[in-house]
Amino acid sequence: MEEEVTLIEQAKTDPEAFGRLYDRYYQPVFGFLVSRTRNAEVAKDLCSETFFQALKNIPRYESRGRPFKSWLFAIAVAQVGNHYRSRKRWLSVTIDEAPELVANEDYRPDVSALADEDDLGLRGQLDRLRPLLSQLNQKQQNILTMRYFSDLSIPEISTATSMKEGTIKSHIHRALKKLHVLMSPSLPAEERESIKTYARTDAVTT
Amino acid sequence: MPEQTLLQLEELLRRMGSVEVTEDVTHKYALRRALLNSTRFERNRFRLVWMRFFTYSTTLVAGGAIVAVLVVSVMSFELPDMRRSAPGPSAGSSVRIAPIQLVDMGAREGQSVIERPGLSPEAEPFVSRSTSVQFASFELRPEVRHVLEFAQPSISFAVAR
Repeated sequence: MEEEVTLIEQAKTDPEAFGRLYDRYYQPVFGFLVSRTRNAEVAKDLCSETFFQALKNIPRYESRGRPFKSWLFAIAVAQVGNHYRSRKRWLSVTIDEAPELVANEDYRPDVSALADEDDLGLRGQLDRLRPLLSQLNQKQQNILTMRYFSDLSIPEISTATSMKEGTIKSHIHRALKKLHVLMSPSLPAEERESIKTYARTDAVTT
Repeated sequence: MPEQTLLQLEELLRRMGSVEVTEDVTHKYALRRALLNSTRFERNRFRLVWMRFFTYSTTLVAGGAIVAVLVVSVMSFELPDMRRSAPGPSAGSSVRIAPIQLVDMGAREGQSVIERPGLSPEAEPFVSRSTSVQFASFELRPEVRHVLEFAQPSISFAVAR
């Protein structure tokens, strides 16, 4: 921690120090962005923007016990928010119109890794879970991605999202509950549909 | 919701996120290079200023050299003319010189052109016996009185005939 604070102080004026910070955090930030956007090219753009913003704002960064990782993830979360807001203006392409994009599993590492495994049951569950994640609202998606994909602790997520730890836990609990309901085959179709509709409205408004 | 289901879901999510995302090495290093060469760092800004200075000054020096070559070449064409019109004795001004003897190829050694036998009497008025020689510059625009003065023997000769 002490070493990182020194490195951050050096990074404000020294490109090499900034390069060391970049090497340390490129992978977690890029991983988070790929998980959130599910598109490698978009993730690259957002990752570039995140680090340029970090470079721009690092002279104003003050540690105050706040982890640098959280600060960086806060920028990444803001970039994801910008991306989804601007995406509303995009032209949507159906799966039938661009089958090659769906076939490309390079940036779905969870699927690629499981391709060699015999665990078809697990793969089936993951296949069911993945589209359901996008039915959560942006806030919940960000929190779950940071918690389970990027391995951030609750205090780190709390700092990155500027929310209280209790609120983060509550968001996680509610998101998991919603996922469970959506995944549950025993749930009456009516109820599932109502949850889906609610989730969609929630995702758009948040 | 049962606790076990929650744990199962968490486990599923962890499993989904546990697989390392393949990073694009080209993008990673291109971005690194761009960030480290950014002018937000004082050092790079200083380097950029010098780079700009040398870029512009090289152009200026090259341009200046070309202009200098052009000026020198133009000057070298004009110089002979300027030499001819250099200030010197002009029409009307006389210079005292020591008595000289004009010797031509046909004359015997020591015999002046004036004393040369067979000199036409008509040429007599044109032979100056004075020790002063008058120079006239025709490159400078002569005044009318100078022209008349210079041409007077010829006019007299023409009138006499």
